[in-house]
Amino acid sequence: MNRRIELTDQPIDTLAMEKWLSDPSCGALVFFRGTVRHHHEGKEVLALEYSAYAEMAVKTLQEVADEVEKRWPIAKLLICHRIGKLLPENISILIGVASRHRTDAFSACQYAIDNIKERVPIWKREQYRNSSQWVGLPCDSADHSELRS
Amino acid sequence: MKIRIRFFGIYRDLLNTDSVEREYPANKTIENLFDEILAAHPRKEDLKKVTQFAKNLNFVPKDSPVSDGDEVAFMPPMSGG
Repeated sequence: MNRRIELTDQPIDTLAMEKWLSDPSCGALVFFRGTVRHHHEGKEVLALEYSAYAEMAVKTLQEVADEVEKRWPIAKLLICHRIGKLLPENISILIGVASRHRTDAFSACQYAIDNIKERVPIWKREQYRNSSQWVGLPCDSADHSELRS
Repeated sequence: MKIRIRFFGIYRDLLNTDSVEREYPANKTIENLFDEILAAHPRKEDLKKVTQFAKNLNFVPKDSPVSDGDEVAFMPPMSGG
């Protein structure tokens, strides 16, 4: 399996990624594209700030790719995650899978995004008009008092 | 022993830094470090319950011992993708 794993602070070039993924031996290409939504739980989202434990994020993405390779006969796997400040409709993640048949491609793509969301050390903070919030953190776990380290 | 501790997500806000390097005596666990650094926080135990820890780029339980030169990370719930 050919793989392309990237963590980038630049806009994701979807055309270039699709070109890389194309393969004449593969009848199926499946993409997952995650984009920043305009609203979350009734609040207008102005921006999403993504941050990462970069070395460990890349390592974990490679582990997810290893698992995909073991489970499905995939020809190519692309995972590109953007970090930094993203605006609504910006692409945060692009996953692409090329395989001979669609069943493997769909399953591998689903496995990749599900595991990335659960396991990869990347965090996002949503910015609203008058506040911001770390996504996924139970509200009652923290207040925002500053502590000296 | 010299330990580097990296902070992510809410911990960067709470501690106003993304990392520290500190000297510790021997026989410490990651949990010992966490308890000391977050000692003043009223919800320390709630935070600990939802936090994952890493040592040298590997996920480890909080009772994992630390050694000289280790890099440890406090990681709140992940939200990539």
